[in-house]
Amino acid sequence: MTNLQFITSVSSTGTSSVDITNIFSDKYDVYCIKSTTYEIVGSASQNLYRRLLDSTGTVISATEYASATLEGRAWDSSLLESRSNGQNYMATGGYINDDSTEGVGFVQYIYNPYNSSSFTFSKTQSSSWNNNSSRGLVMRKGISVHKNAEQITGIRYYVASGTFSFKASVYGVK
Amino acid sequence: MSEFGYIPEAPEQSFGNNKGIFTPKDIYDLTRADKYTNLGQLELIETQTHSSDVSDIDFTSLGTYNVHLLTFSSTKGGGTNPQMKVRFFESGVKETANAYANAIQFCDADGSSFNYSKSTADSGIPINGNYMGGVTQGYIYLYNLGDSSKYSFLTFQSSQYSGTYGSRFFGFGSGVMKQSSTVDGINLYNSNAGNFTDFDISLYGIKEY
Repeated sequence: MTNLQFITSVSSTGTSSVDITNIFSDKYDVYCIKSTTYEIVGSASQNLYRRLLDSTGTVISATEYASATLEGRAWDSSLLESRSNGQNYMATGGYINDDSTEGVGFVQYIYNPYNSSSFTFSKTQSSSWNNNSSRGLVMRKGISVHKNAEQITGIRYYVASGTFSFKASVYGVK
Repeated sequence: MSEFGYIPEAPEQSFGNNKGIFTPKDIYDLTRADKYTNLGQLELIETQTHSSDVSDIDFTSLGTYNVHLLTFSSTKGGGTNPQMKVRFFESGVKETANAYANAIQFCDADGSSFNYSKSTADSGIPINGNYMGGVTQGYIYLYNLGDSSKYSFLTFQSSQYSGTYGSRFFGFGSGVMKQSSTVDGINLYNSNAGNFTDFDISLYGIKEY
């Protein structure tokens, strides 16, 4: 049976980015990252973004990513589609709360990050809370790819402005 | 001699960083202290299978996890247009009020369009379309159930075959119980007053350190 094997966890408060380094290796082809805490500190709700770290641990910020995301909001009868074939980040499921009470839940899978001859793919599904105008639940499901074949060793989570609190755990899928 | 046979003192032990030669008792003690490297963090809590038709399936021993995974297969419902929904227990009491919100995308393989379903106030969180008379299977991730300061969220993906209509569906979505509380149980129920006529459901906790 498929199982999860714990690799590491991170916990941070009041930072603009969080690097999770040296988590990918030749031991696994697929990784699972889960989070229950993502809280913006002192500003409006905003997205959580990702960038990958290369074999030297350097963040990849070139326009080498593509993402497609479907968003449903419990108060709105329309679905939102978001997609781009050239971004300098990976979309992360989550339009997240702007205070500390609600929390969040997301699971991401990362495919082939350590294989230097393969692109790195990802899928995400999230459930989060948007406090803007007292709205509510946000559902997101998305896919992403890093369109360059190179060895990836880690991942950076960040916000466009301000700081955030964040907790996540990383697992290898055996 | 100190613990784990070291003289004069034992090195610090932690998950992924164990040093030394361990006796069975050492391994037992370190495992109980979450300091021994036992790989396999998807931990089975309970499996429930059908032995007789029931209207509700409850998981009331959740353990201590930030994230749970619930898998279901071979699950069928009786009654008219049966639909499986999720509710939560708070301090042993099932929350049946309109305390839940959801946003769900469904697709009918025989249809020409997708169907988006959402609610800001519902008495449960739908996990599939209301055609569970065939068979349905899928998984649900549940977040923050044991955290009294946070809402309880879930994400899911399901597929089903409708015996009545001969159609195939898939669905994915999110849900939340929009109040901060300690959830100590999960309730699966057939929202259309019928029973579950078959099911094979497992609940796991995802261990972290």
